[in-house]
Amino acid sequence: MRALAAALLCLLTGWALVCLGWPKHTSLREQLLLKFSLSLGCGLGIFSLIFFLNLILAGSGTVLLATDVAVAGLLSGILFFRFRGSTTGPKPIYTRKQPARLTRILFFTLLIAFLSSMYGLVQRLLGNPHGEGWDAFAIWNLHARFLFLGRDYWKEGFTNLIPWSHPDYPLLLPASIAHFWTYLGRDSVAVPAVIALAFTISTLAILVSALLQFRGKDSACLAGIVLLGTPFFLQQGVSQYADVALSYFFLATIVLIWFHQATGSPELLALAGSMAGFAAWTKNEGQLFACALLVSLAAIGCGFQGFRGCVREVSLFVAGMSPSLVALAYFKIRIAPPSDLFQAGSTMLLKAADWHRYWLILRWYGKDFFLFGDWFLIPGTVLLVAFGWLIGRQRNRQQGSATWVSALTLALTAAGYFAIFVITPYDLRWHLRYSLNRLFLQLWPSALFVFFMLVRTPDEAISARQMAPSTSQ
Amino acid sequence: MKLAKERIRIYAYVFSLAVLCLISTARFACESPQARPLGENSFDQYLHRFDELKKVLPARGAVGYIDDRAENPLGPGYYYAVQYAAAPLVVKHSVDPDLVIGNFTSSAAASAHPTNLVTVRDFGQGVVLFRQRHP
Repeated sequence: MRALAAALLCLLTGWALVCLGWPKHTSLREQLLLKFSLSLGCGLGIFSLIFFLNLILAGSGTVLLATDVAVAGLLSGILFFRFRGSTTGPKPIYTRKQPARLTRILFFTLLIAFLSSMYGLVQRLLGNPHGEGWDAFAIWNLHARFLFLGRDYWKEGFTNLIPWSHPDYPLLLPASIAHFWTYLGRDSVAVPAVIALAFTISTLAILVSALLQFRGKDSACLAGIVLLGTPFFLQQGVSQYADVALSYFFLATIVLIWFHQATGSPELLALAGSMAGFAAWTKNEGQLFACALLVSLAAIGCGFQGFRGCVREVSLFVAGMSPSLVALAYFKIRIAPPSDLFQAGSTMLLKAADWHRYWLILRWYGKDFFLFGDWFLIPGTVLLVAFGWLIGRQRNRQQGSATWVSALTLALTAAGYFAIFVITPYDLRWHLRYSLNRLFLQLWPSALFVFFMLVRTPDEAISARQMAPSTSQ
Repeated sequence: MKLAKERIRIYAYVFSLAVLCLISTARFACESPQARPLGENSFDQYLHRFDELKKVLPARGAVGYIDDRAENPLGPGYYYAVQYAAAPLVVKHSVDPDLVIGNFTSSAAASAHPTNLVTVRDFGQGVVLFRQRHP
């Protein structure tokens, strides 16, 4: 009962924040699935920030509950007054009529894939409730235990005395878990397991619901089928690592950037900033992503909207990020030891000058491009390239700015991962072997979204082929 | 006729993509859960080995750790499991702290501990608490 109440409070807080970020003239009932999927990450993000603040201020469980209720109440109150009387909303952006038979078949295929995945996910969660692999209990859930059980001495757990526990990793997941444990009064193994499952399903839901708006049912179903057809995504989803949660925030940010471009609503950009901030508060790679997105927004924004428009966009985005950034800065400066990846400047320069390292990393990038998803028979990346080539690219250029921002952000993030491998203090092969596939996975849902935004939908492809002979005559 | 052919061709691309992905999903669903990191024991059962030990450990600070799994590739997993069980106590992978947790494959293996340590209590199943031998 307590867990249910905590979950409802978390979702209500997230829902209120997401709806506040939606354009003013829309109805609260519009795009329910997308809003609900985004609410999970927002709610957990806010829950983790409240818990962290409460820890720093040494507040009690009662103070924590009061803060939760106050934040949820405040956001809901603002929401009520802001959206009072709003009953209509914009129609879906994609309005072409799609072949009913194909849509039905794709929907049922997606349903079968979803049910099969859920069966496998639940089976694995029950088989390994503490997660698959060591990182779950050696890093994320261990940090949650330090936060929950450490009382006044919780900072002692974030020390380099525990090798490989990565005490510099941010606290969104551990603090969310510890927040729920505080409600329950015990460190139930079900909490991290359910959070992991919720992130996995919500990532799928964001992908499908966002594409439903932009590209219609067929592309939405296809994207969902491809994501569920990536066994590594599902496996990592229940491993209780942070990579799927991070991929969730990456995707949420990119989707909101597209919605911002489509509607012009400034609130959506601030909400995208919040999501990028939560990504930075989830894992160090999220900080790289947030920087990449800021650079992309600034560079592309200047090109499309001029300097003033660009400054306005970046300011809104940073405003959304700021609560998470403040918490992250405090954690990094006051609590966490320095990251294990950065050494003395001269050592890193020596590594940066070694071209063998670049060649090795390039080869691994090439290899993992085909293998990271643990696909059966044919790699999903190859399938997508072939599919894109056969079906063709859509010619609608209205989403130009968002296309470039998303593509540049993903490319810069991948390049940032590359740079980290160049200077890594660890054995390069070992480091690539145990992390590159997860880094690719972090970008995969966002890459799928951008891909299906760019290629034609099946009905567009049929129409384009139908038009082709007449235009050539 | 041409339109019908084009439609069939596009549908073939779409269904090929969907079916090939569905096969990967089906394989994921059919595979049994992967092997647990701690051998034949379930993680919870493994953690219960340390219940009695936790009662005599201090509430905070750092303790040491020793085991007989240096050659075992799963060795670090056993250490992390002990750290997880002992949190919020910090478990240092070293025999230098005053108190040292011994986590051996059996009680018999625990007898081969370093000479600078004296046994405080043997909890059975290879779980032993040591203290530094003071001169």
